Amino acid sequence: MMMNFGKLVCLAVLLGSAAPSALAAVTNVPAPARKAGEGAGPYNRMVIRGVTLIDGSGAPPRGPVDIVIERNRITDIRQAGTPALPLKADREPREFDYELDATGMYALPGFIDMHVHASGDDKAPDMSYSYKLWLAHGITTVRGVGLAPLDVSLSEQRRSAANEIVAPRIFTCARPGEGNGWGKKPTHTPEGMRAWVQWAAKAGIDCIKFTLSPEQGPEAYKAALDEAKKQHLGTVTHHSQIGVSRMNARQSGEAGLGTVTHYYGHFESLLKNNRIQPWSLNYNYNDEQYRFGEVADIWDKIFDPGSDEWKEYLKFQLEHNVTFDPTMTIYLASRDLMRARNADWHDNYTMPQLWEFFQSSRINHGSYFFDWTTTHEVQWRNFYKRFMQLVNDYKNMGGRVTVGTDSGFIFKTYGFSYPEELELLQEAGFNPHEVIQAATLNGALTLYEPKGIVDPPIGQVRVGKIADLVLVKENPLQNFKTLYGTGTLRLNEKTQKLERVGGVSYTVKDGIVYDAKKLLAEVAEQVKAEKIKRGWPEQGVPRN
Amino acid sequence: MRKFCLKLGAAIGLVILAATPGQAQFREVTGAPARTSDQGIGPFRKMVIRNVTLIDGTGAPPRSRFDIVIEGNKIAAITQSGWPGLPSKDGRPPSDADYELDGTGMYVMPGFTDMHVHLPGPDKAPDASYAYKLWLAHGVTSVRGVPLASNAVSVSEKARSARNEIVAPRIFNYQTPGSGWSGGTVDSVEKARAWVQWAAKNGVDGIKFFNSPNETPEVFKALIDEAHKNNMGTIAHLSQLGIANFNARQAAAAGLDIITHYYGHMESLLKDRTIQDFPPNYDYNNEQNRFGEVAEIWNQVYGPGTDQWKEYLQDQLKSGVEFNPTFNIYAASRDLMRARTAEWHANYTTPQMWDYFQSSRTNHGSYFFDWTTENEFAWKQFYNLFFKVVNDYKNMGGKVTVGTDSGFIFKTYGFAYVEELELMREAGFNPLEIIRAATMWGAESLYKHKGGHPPMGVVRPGMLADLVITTENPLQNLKTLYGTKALRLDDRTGKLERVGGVRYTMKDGILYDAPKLLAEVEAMVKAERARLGASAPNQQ
Repeated sequence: MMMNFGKLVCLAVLLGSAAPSALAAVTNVPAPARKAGEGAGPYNRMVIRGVTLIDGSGAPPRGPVDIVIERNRITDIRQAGTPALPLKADREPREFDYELDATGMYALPGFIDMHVHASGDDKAPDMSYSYKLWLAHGITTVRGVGLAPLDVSLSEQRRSAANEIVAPRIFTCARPGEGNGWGKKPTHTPEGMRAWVQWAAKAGIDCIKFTLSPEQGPEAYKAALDEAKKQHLGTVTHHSQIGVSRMNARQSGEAGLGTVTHYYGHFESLLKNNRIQPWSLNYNYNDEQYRFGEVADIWDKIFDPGSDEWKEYLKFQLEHNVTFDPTMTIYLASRDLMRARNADWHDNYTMPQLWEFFQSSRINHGSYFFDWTTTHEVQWRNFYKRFMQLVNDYKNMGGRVTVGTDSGFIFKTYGFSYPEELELLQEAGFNPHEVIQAATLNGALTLYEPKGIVDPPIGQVRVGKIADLVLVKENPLQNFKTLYGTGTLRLNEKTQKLERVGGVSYTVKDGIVYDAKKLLAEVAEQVKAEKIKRGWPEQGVPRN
Repeated sequence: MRKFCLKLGAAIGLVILAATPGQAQFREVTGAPARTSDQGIGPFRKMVIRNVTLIDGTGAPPRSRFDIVIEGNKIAAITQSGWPGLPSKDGRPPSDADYELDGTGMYVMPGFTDMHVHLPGPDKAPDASYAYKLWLAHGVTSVRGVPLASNAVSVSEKARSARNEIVAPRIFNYQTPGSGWSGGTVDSVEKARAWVQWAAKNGVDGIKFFNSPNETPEVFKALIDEAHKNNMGTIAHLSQLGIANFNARQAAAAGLDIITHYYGHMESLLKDRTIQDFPPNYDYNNEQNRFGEVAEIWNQVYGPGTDQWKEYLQDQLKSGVEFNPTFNIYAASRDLMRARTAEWHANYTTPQMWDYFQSSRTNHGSYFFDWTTENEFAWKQFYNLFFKVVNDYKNMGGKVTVGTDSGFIFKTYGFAYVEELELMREAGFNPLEIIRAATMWGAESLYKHKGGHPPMGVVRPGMLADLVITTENPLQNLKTLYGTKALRLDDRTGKLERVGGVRYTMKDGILYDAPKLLAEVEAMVKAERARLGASAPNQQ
């Protein structure tokens, strides 16, 4: 998320630039090696039996089908019967070394999270905490923006690609100037920036993350966007308030930006009676209650939804093929702090150190609720309504919208934020089919397009694609809440008791089958162990 | 909450049983124990609250600093005590007060009015004091019971509260048609008029309608007409059972005083249909149907800004009907997890009420059998529309008041009041408009048919001494009014702390220490948990 977090995770260590000294100590501990028994497969031939397929393309669900996987590829999808009639026994193919009876389950492409940072050692013992929670929520691919300091990210990316660790596929975005091998040479000029992009492309990055930091003016930024295209790298920008008055989302789109992440930059392109948002006069960017309180105040300073200017803005972004990655979940506490603090999953799945990080403090970034009032929340609710409409209108015009979370800040626990983002897209007006398309195919297209690949190998359940799958007992279209690791409450009509149903059953990444419930149980154990270490009660988290 | 009230209705001998499932057990509300000598101080011959900032309830902006002189149960004088930014002079008159309260830095408002309440039955709390104390602890000094309990209990509790024999807000007793008398079901115009005449003589302040099958439009109209002749008010929950023939526009045209909840507004704005499209398998007695589907009307109506929308509100304004939205009581529908995990349940929700809240086919209002993203989505859409209709009405000059309807759907007494204020803020009211709705407008609503000006609802000499006193400015943050207070970072310690809460509530010249009331409720909840062998609520 926010630029300072980026600094916290990456720049504080590498550049030591503007980051306060208190932040410098954070490091990212790589995940331990995958042990025997962690995940099953890949197999020469595996058959997943009897599922209803939601293929990610936007096609309606269909089933029952059997999915045949050879090593890490989907090689066949066969009709297994007819709805409402019993399935035929002993269906072909009969040669396989693993058979997963998933009768009655739903199969979807592995989910893609387009905006992540892995857990640093200020939040969890090592990065496996975030990896496991992602996989447990069906996320098989993440775009790290950045995942960790660049060299760690690239190493983790390679280890995940080789399945040496229990982790989703990793795409690595670097920040301008990042990388030990670059040697801190300046990137504030167009020439310096181009040189870094060329260097970083060779170092193996997939994309560049910009935050419009004070160090990089528009000229260097534009040069980077241009050079990134030449080097087949993706680009994603968080239009921080520091730089947005010179480069808003529209100007970025014009300059060739791939993805606008978060909300920043859109409404600054739609200001009605100003060129700069009319901040309050005692505003201080480094006082985070100002920063995050006042971003929402822009909601009524813009051209109204449906106005010519509104439509024109979206048309412009569409013409420039800009992807919107709204990450609505990460700022959600701003519209309802109590909800975020008391969310179901904190008790068992939020690390004690992460919980402490979330507590409001002038130092922990994103913990900006110093005196959060009804009016702040109402401003944020109004802001969300308009932001949602913008994103939904863009989708309806043909624009691409993806799913990103940015967890690890502001009461957002890894993995759990993903279904929340799906719920928020639905609230924005996406129907559930559109939501799934955003979570799967749209993410894959955005990741692979810069590489010149228009038919990505992930993001759809289709013959020839990589075997990244989510298997769930409940129909996620009926209720996205069933995708939370904590499930959803449902009245059992036989017992007349409420029970929790749902959660992902299996996540298949690269042909390896992970038991999602087992991953969750491992995380819960790890959380408990950390609590004991700190002398916390094993159950729950301390709440003021 | 129609069925909830049917339960009460049946408890008091009503024969709306046709619509009442057989499973409900009806037990009478237990009245509050008598007030003891350590509960509240006063009234005093003369007392002074010194040096406060006044938010007077009329919509006037806050002003400081003032000394408020109270004699007996009335405000006798309000005199300026100093200027903002300067210390106030010592030795200010009067010097003969029996009691002085230093309110320096505090805010004083009129006591809050809650226009829609029910008392907890024995299935929710040991006795009525549970709700009373939570109301008072949140500054609520007047409640309209719709109904509070049976007519007998309501009349008795109202009189006990008026005499300050119990720790309770002022009570206004609204009853459903036919309640209390022995004349049977009110199912004709004649019976309607007869019951109202009986009710007027038997302590009833007004009528609560449900649009139940017996309340045909003719009966409804006769009840309203007769009520007004007898100086009684009228408030209606226009339930879906009667809505097709009697929506909010028709009810207002018939002279109805108040529309409570949301029912009836959107049904007056239906587009391309005259009855809401219900799915074919809809069953009103399946509460997930009932409450899930009400929200689905959101895209079947003429929307904000259309001619039909404006014309509807203009018609309502002409009829002079009041909107009492009770936003909070259905808020769990748009965000169940929030309602379930609200921070006050841990210490202030009784174990029996917590059980009652759990989804079940028999506990009314516990309708989350399988509550989905799609359900919450529809409710969010619905709320946006409902907010808009209420806010537009206020902006056109319509009256809007504050009501809660607690005791159902994860809403705990008192806390829900503050939530309602927050929801009004979300609807577009500014904080001063909210305080006015909560105080002066509420008082006007209660006294509309009683003749003369309301004796409360404004902090002004001559008014009854019903006051809310807070240490925090509620306009800055309504959350500071919650009994659980608001979180704020203390920059000296770098730690979050909880600030606010009502400090004192004065009702009828008696000063209650609000944190002490909360502590008593907490002790009651603890004792009930011990008695029932229950642990703190499992909010998961």
